[in-house]
Amino acid sequence: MAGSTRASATNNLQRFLRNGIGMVGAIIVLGTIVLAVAAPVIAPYGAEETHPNWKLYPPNEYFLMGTDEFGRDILSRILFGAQISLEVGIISVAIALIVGGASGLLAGFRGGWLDGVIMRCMDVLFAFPAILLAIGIMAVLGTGNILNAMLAIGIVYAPSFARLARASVLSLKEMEFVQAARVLGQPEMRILARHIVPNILAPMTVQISFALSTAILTEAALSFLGLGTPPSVPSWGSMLSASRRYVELDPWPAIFPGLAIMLLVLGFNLFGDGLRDVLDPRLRAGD
Amino acid sequence: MTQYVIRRVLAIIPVLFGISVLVFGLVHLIPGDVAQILLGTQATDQQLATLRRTFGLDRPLPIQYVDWLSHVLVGDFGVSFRTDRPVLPDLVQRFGVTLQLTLVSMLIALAVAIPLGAASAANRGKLSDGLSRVIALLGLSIPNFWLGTLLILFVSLVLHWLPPVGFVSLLDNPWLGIQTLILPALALGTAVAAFIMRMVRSSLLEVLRQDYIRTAHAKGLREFTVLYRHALKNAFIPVLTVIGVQVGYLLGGAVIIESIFSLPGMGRFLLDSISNRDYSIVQGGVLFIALIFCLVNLSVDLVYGWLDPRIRYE
Amino acid sequence: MLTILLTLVVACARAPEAPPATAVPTAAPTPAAAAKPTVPASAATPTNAPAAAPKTATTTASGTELVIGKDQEAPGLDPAKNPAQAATRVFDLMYSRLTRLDANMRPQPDLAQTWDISPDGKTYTFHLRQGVKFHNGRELTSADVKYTYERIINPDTASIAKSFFDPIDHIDAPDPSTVRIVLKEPNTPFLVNTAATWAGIVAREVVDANGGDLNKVDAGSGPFMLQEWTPDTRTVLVRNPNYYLPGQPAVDKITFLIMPDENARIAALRTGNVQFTVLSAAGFDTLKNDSSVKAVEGPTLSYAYLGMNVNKPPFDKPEVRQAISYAVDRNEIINSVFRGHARPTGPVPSAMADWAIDVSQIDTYTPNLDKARQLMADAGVSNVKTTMQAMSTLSYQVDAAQVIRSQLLKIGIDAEVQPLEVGVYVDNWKKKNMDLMVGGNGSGTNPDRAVCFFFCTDGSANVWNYTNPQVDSDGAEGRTATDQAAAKAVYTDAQKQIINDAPNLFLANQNQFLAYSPKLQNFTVMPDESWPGLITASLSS
Repeated sequence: MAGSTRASATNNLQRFLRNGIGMVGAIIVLGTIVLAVAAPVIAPYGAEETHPNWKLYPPNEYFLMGTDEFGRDILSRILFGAQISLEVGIISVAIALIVGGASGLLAGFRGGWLDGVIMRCMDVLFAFPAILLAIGIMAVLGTGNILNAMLAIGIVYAPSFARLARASVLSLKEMEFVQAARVLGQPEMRILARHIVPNILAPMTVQISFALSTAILTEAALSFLGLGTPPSVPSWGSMLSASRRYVELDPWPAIFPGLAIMLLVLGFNLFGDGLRDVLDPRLRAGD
Repeated sequence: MTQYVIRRVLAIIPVLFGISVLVFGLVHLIPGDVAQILLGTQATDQQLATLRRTFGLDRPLPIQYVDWLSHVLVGDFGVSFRTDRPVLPDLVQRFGVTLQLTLVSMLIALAVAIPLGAASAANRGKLSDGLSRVIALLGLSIPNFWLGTLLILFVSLVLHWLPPVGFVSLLDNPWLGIQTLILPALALGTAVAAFIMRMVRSSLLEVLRQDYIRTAHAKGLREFTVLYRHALKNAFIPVLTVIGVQVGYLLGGAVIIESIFSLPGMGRFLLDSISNRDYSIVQGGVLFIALIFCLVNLSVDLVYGWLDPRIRYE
Repeated sequence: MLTILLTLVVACARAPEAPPATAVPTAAPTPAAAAKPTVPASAATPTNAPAAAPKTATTTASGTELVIGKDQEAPGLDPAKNPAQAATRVFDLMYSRLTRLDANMRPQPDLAQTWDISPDGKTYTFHLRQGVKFHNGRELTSADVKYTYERIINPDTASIAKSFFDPIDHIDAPDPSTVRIVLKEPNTPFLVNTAATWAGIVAREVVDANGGDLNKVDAGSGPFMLQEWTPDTRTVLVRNPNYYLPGQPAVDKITFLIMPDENARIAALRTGNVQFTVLSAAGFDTLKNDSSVKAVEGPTLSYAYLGMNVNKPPFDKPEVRQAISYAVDRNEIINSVFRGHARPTGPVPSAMADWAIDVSQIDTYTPNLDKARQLMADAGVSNVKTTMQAMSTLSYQVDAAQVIRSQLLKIGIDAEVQPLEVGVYVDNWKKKNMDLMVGGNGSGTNPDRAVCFFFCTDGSANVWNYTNPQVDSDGAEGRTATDQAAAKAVYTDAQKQIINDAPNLFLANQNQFLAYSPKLQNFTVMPDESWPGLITASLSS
């Protein structure tokens, strides 16, 4: 895989800016981040602030997205919910990246029995459907706890980073500049840090984007099942699940949280697609 | 070919072993007295003592593991503390429902994805191609539980076209059964369809670039024949591996969809067991699904090897 | 694309009227009057109903079957040990007691055909019906009654009804059809307590054969026999052919299907897959205009409460508990959680009109955030992080917990809501180690149960570690009082004490909601939310 050196990084950035799909994704993601960070300031009401006379109202001038069964403003809850989705997404992917990436790097670089053991472990984790493994880990760690959710999702997505890291390292290992560094007697960590890591950044970044979209979906699913955040906390998934009982009386609370999840996930998917288009023509989704 | 089969089978044995260790470890990592955990807090001291004796819960962990494994290998997955019923038969029965859901989802996904993906590749660059790609991305991004809720709201409660929740087995009554399964299968299968469609498209485009396709064109064969007789067959091979992974997604996603549509499948069984703290079932269920998934992947590998001789000699 | 289309159609299908214009809002405005945009009822009977296997009254080879959508599974079926309604509703039909309550909640003969009470009020002599058989075939005698009550009083049984029958001094069974129960002192609620589901008469040999535990078996003599119990799926009861009341039960078989999801129960009721189910306020509002089912609302003798563990800081400080009482807005709970189908209450629910005190003027019931914050400051308590447990399958509990949480946040208490499954919830309840717990109590028909069972120091349902000698003595006096006025005075005092000490906050006395097929006849709604009406209910075809 032809790695991109620092010189062509600016080149890539320019190409990305011209890539329509990726830019749309970037705008969505950045927009959501801004909204999430600004939520305490721009949200018209508190996330758990109830207005009992306004239960289950459709969108109106006072509550732009309507209200839920306790009279809480859906718009405000969506804004605060963005914080949760992004927080869980980022931290769990960070965990997956660090744990998985490090394992894969190690396995690929050292080879031998260490490689075998690490990759077998990853195979075992891969053998479980993702959401099932996340649920199982939550069952053990304790449900209704956001930290456990981050940990569980991180563990579940570590293997894919491990595989990617290992594959990249394996192909890089044989390259001349790496061989040269070894011959020169440079310490391993230096080789890894100086030569290997910068060159695997490109495919990793693409993977990170897709991992974020999946992690956000998984967190929403866990919250929907009641396993993620405790009730009242405005996670988009649990907002959706609470809306089901009232769906015949008022469908709006069932629409907005789902829309939010879909948009954010779409944003990361578009971003990842765009990145992939730019960074590795061979991996592009067929162009 | 036989050599290949043997090699693949041998390769999954350490994975199976690892799965069993992980599942065993999951339950034993739960804080608290294992006997109490497995039997629940309504258990009498007598029942607790019996369980400890039967499973030797005071012996070192590795020995307990071997003991548990030897039970599992003969099909004894333990008993539920709430019902005293053996775990495995109930799992198998509920899995029948999940299986129906998974099959119908996959069929729908394939029926939609393959033609769409092929058409998209054939019309590359045109508006219809762009449109399909956007639809596929939407399909990938939409949460399946939201889609399920919307389908119930729209199709059942507003339009009254299909029953909202409930299950009738295809084996009992195919016509009613399919009615109860369509909405859940749609909700579950959409993401799979989107994923496969993208794979089909990219794989097909890859194949269409090949020399032998140009030869076929040069020979004057019609576009249709080229596409379906030569290209698609070869393009399908990498798609096949993706199908294996997607089955895993379907098995996992079934957990959520079964809850929404009140289907008495294995996913719901597992979820209920977790809230009931019935860990015998959690243990058995997770193990069961992982095993099935493993077997599916193995089969996909074998079919792949049969279809593409190059793989066999790797 | 598809989803956007879907959402647009859905939105258009529900075009509501605009909410009434009010003054320009700075914060949350209050809408003028109760004019809420009406959502057109799309819950109309489906005409081209693709009903999945629609059923009429099922007539099996052996007779009629009534299928019931039940919201929770019973943790066990032992009548002496299971407090939860999910359990009592089932074994109510399996076990006979000395007496049974009628629709006015007065004791009527059941196993005891007649009874005499001695002039000093301490000796009750019951004359038993002849020829009653247990489900295993053996004839029921006075020895069984004696055994059952002794089992309940025995501390090893850990029976939930122990405090009802601790006042018993001894029991004689002079002949097979006479039981004489002698009390230590007169006890006004005693006769009513013999009608409790927990006092179901059990067959000793079944108890012994099962290690002292009847949770999974049937040791009864009632109108229905347990045929099958598959936890979390189905409980099947079949009629007892030897039942002693003619014409009862009216149906041959009752199948309880466990369906925790209310949407699923409503759908099943509409298609006829179940003929009877229980609803929340939201479910009732959804179905009340649906002409294909009968949705009924009835009063109850229950109330929803917020329980506080009096031993755990900071709830060990009375100022904190009072602060919580000032912070919790009970009207909001009545409005949001019960959608208006409830009323404020004390420990004796307002439906028990003879005994309940008037709570409309109680100071601590009026929300007052300033006072609340002041009390918290006085107690030197701030930034509390705690937990609030609720039963996950009872939506009103989880909903109330959420509303309470938002109210407590305003006085510096962050209570994380923890929905728990029935078995786990009941466990925690019994263990008395919770912080805060939302729950529901059925307070029975007599003030002794409402007051003492739950709040006397040795009350079996006092899981809050609450003790107040004044309440105890009030309870004791009330139990032995012969004069109605005197009794009323002590119970009034007890209620005031309890409200002031606030081991529990009494949130609302809510209504019950049931829905059933129009084909179901002769079902009487009971204020204690039990379903003995199923014994007389019949299905027309």
